[in-house]
Amino acid sequence: MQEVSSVAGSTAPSRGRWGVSTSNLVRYYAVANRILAFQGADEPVLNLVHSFLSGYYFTPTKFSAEGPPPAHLIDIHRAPDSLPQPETAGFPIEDGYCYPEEEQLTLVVNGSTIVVGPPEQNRTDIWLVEETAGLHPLALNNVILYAVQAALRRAGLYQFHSGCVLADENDSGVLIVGDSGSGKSTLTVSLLNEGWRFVSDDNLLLHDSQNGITAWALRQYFTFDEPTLRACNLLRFADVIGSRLPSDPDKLRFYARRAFPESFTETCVPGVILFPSISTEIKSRLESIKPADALMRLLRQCPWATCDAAAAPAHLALLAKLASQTRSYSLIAGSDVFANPNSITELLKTTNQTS
Amino acid sequence: MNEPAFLPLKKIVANQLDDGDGVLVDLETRQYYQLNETAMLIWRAVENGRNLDQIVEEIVAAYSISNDRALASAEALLTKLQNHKLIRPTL
Repeated sequence: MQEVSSVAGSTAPSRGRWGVSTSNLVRYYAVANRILAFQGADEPVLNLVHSFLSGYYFTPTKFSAEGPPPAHLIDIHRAPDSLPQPETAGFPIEDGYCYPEEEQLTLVVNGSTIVVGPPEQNRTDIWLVEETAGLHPLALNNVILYAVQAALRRAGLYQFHSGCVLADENDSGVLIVGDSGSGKSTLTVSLLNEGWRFVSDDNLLLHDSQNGITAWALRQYFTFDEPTLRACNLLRFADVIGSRLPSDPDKLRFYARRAFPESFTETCVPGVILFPSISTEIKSRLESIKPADALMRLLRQCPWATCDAAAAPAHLALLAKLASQTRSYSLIAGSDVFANPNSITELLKTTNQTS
Repeated sequence: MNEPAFLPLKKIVANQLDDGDGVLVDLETRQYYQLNETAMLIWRAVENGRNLDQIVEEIVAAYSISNDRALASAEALLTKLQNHKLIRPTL
């Protein structure tokens, strides 16, 4: 990404800068054994958060004084019409800019501002401006998404775009990692049709646990375009095909957990990483990758590991541990992925992941 | 002279894998670099404040190569690290 300099002449926003009073409206959500707290300026704001989180494995929960404290607080304020820009140099992110400053991150997304505090504060503040809501239906979702991702990183949970499947009767997971269009969802659902279990097609949380790096399901649905639904023989599940994604209208939500109710598992410890690429070859094949090469490929999928200074050391250590605990392969996916999905299962047996 | 010749910059995060290879991340430029086992040995030596003679000694001890070859390897990598602004000279 190209580096840019911020121009507007004001300091980075800080809490209370606009005299916003703190609200008593708080809701708690559990995810991957952590609790995040959301404090809102009013009920509509918290309802917006709830609506956003309902597409993910965030479970509304109650806070107990005897239980663990929330790992992170996201405090959402309504702000004046326009906010001052940070003075520090920033760089572009999707729909906005990021301004790192020591261990604090300030994100300006669709006009609203997110301040991710230093680690000892365990809090992120959002200043929502009215103009954000007026941009397009996704604008507010994007703001919440960035804030939630940052809060999760501060809580030791790292969002990761990857499919994750498990061979039947085998608790060790296979991560399917690649850019959009590399065949992650197609391969995931081909294996589901072969009786494999699944955690996700594309959206996970990674966590460093006593058992090693653990993958948790994050998003509640898969996404497919119609040709892929047809090619993967998924149109037979018409009642679990949902609405189109506002951010990518070619893609439809597919609620795999309802189509394959016995196949879902919430979490697993990955033992293999596949980096697929679609080829014109007839027969799929695997090429082994050494851990350092795998780590470089993992980093490519994790841009925040290279710019969120407070989380970067732990984030990089987590990815390195993942690269070390797994065996990694390039999967050159041939036409047999569709023509004979069982061949992929047979191929993956060579990684010793299936019995 | 026991003074280190170079120091790693604070903006760099390093991680070494079990097989000795490693990765450096520059938080300022958001670039990342893959280092082989020998390069990681040199990086760790710089982190630990070793001077050039001590770095060469560590390479010779680890790989049983000549002083001249170890010196050439160390100087070449240190120049690259400096060019990428990952380390700075102490003087």
